[in-house]
Amino acid sequence: MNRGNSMNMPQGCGRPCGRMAAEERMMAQPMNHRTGCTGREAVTEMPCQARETASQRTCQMREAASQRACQMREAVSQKSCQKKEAGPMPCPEKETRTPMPCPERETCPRECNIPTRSREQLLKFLDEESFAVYEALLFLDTHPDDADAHAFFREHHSRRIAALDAYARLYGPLTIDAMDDSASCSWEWMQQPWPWEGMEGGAC
Amino acid sequence: MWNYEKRLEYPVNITTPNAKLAQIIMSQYGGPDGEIGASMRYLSQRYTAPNRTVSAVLTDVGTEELAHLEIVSTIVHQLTRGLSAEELEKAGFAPYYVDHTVGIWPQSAGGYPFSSSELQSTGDPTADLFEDLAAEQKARLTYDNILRLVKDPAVADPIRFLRAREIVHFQRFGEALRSVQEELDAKNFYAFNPSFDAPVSCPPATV
Repeated sequence: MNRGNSMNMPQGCGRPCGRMAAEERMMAQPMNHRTGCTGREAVTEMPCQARETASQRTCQMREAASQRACQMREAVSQKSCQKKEAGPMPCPEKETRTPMPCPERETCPRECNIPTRSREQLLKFLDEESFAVYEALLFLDTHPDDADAHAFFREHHSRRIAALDAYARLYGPLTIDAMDDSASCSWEWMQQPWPWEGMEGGAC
Repeated sequence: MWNYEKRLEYPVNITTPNAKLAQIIMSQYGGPDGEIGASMRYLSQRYTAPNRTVSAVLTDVGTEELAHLEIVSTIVHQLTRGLSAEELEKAGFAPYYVDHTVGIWPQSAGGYPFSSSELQSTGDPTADLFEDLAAEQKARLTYDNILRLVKDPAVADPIRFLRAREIVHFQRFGEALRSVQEELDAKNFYAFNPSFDAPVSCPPATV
């Protein structure tokens, strides 16, 4: 279905207007704004043309809003060069899009953007991302409708997950979810230093 | 339920022990305005929250306070490890040492054991949230008092982090209180206890 020309739809999201899609399903016949109503007068009370005009305006407004949201999300995800893995996509319009191109992905798929030079640096990165996540969590508890906060949460949450995973593979798991001891012979959870030991190590 | 994550919320790397400072800082572990009291207070108050904003804030701040009590006890531990009995005695640490060696035990700097008397959970969300606001201020001022006595930057650094978090928590509790008041009669906030006299209006979970 090519609606792009008739509606001057923004190219960004490339998905048919949600409202049109919904009405489509309802009417079980395609809506075509160019050629006018196709037998919908029989089922609607509003004059067909007025309804078309109104729904076209709404559709355009929705497209503009969703394109803005899409662009905002793209800007956020561009900063973080990671595969968007499991979990629901935050941007419904993105379901039909290809993932953001990420040049470094070929060489560093999951550690992309994560310092791997030393354990301390990786832990520091994890601490920073985890703090951002927790701060955003508290903020979202009392500001659940703040879109910027949601975007911030998602970005740092995905970095934290990647950092936890990288740390677990390099130095041992920090959480029960990061445990994968099938490849190791020792119980890393217990053997790796405990957080209060600091740099000096503990009594062990 | 709670999972454990094997890292501190903020790093603590103290290289110079100081038992005198440990005696003071332990008040933020088991003292009247310390982190154990804070976490137990918030986590206990959750159950009579009148709306989900309050449930979430109490749960998430209470959980963060558990992370904070771990930081404080780490500070006390690192300030006392490796010291001999003579060094501890010279630092005025002998009364604690005789009962606990250099083990970590929840008490105030003055020696009072931690107790539920340090906190309340009233079952009235207005009273509970005002108490929580006060608790965050008390914790903040205690950290201010500690900072006046700390010279070691390795100690001051995590203390400053904890102090800043108290201020943020204070902000969140204010917002939670407002969410409760918005659902009450503006002409009389105290007409009834929304957690006891009226049915809770939490929406059912959506499928």
